[in-house]
Amino acid sequence: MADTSPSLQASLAAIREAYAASLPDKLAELATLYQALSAGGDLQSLQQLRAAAHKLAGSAGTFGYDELGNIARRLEHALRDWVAVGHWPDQKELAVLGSLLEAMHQQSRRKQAASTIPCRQPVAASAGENILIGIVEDDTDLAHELAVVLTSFGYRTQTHASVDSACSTFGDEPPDAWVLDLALPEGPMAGAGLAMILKSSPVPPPVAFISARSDFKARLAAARTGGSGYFVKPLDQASLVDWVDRVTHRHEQPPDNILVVDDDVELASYHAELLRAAGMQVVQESNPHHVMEALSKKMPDLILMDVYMPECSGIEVAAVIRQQEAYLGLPIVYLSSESDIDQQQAAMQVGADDFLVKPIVPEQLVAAVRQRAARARQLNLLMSTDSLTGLLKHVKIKEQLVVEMTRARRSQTSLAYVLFDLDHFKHINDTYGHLSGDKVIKTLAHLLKKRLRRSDSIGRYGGEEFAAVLPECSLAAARDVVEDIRLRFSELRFGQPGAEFSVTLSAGIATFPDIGDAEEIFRAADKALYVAKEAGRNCVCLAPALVQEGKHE
Amino acid sequence: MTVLQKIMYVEDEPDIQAVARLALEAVGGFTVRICSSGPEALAVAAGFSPDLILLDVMMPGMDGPSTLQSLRALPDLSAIPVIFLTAKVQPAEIAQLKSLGALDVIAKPFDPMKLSDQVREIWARSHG
Repeated sequence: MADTSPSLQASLAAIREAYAASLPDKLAELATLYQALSAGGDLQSLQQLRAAAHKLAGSAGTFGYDELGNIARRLEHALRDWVAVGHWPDQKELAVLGSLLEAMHQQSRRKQAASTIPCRQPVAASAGENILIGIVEDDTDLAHELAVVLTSFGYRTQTHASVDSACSTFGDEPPDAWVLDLALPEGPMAGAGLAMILKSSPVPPPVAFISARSDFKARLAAARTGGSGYFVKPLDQASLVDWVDRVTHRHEQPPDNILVVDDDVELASYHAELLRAAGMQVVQESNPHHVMEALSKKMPDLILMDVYMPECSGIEVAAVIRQQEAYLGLPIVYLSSESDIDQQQAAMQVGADDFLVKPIVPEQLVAAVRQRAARARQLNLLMSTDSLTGLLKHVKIKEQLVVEMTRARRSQTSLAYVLFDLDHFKHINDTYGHLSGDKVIKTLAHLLKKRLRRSDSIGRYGGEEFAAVLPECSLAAARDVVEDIRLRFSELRFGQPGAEFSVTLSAGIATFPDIGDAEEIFRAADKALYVAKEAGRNCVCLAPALVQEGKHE
Repeated sequence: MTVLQKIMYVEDEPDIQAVARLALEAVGGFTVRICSSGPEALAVAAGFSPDLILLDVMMPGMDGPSTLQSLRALPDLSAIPVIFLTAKVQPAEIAQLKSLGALDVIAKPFDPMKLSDQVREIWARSHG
């Protein structure tokens, strides 16, 4: 029925134009009311401002100013709450209102409708280098520093010195996340205003604030704009990078692996489908006798099992599973059509983790399974990784080298093993304190994660020593990437303004098949690292055997 | 089922009046009477005898709900179907508005190309 004739479109365009032309007056009215409020107006001026905001909230979207309308709605909601409880806004709250008005003002100058903030594309898992971070910071030194740090962690950056400059690029490629200074040339809370604009886009990007203020009010103002990060100057670069990693999903989680054991094939398929629909990987097993086999093929994160099965009960199967040490930590969740408390207790005694009663609500099943699986995975991670850096522990990285060497031998590919060691680390701990030392360690861990590939394994040997296994990597390629890491790391700055310092690292590389045995590779890499230290540190050396034989020079 | 033809729209904002007229007349093909306030609506309603009234909730002076109350007191309009339009979109507020006897609540801002369809849909639902 919708008429989309040219004449109708023209009439609509004319009405929109008229609205656009009247916008400055409407905003001026808001500004006047706001000024009256700031100058100590009465409750009436609060109500008038609210009414004006309400009007805009209801109309702007109809005329193509969706974002402006959304900001007006937030303004109205804040004012409505204050009017309702008779709260009088203080200076800071007034500043937030001011930044909202400013944000509306900026929106009014932008083109209408579709040409506003474009949708962000979901960050692809392998996007890596393509993630763009918007930085809005008027302190050019700090902006530069942030850009350098984020670039060194594999991000692309786009810096702006003001809200205006940031808004002017909205038509271009939208950043995947934003780091905003709370105070910008437009005002002490202008960053919050910009965040409001960003929040009103169809897929709001993650926003973090940096600020000299750490008081609750400032943090609250930031949180109200949907800011999920808040960093007080002087900046802790590692935490900021952590935040960026988190919000851009660089710590991609593999899907949960679930084993469904139920003799009722149809029901098992139904449950499996529910879990698959929630993004999990599911293996079905209808014969309890084959459970051990299924486990040895692929270790799941969780077992979902029917209690009543012919031949042997789920409880008995659980007991068999628990006999084996490797499966002690494996969560088992039962499904039962009976809500018999005694049965449940019997099940719990042999180490069941949860008991779900059939028929189960799909959402409950997914939630119960996901939460249990996540916990189990977290525990496993804790057991195999270094708590400070999240990297593999010493033993694990060695295991990984053996695994990858076996694979490399089978597929006749090369492999590199790298040892990294921070230079003069004891001196840093002694001079700047252990907290600073930990920060350096964490930062290097980050850098390694960013610069190396997903398929590479990275571990912390303890202390200031790190190791990495790089499968399918030639000696030359390994040397290039390690050299790049060395250079980037040496450019990072730590510490406080006035007491800044930088740290360098040395590295040794050994490769397979040039060296054919895992123990030999460990020793060779260690020797290479020793040579690098002897050569004056801050350099990368190849295993002596490789150099002498001139295999790759 | 009564055919929906005549709609009265009560709205104080001139911008919205203009775009609503376009949306309901040109896009929807309805016969439309716009009123700028609750009192005007009360004065005009009986003569225009609309099939449906669209009522903005927040208007200066007499607001949407009190306009509805007064309309219901008029002899010929005691059962007139009403749809509220509002920028308030909290579920509780919508429920409260519906409890006043409105067919439904349409959220503002509305899309001028879709308003008529929305109105027709609500109409069909309550007269089906």
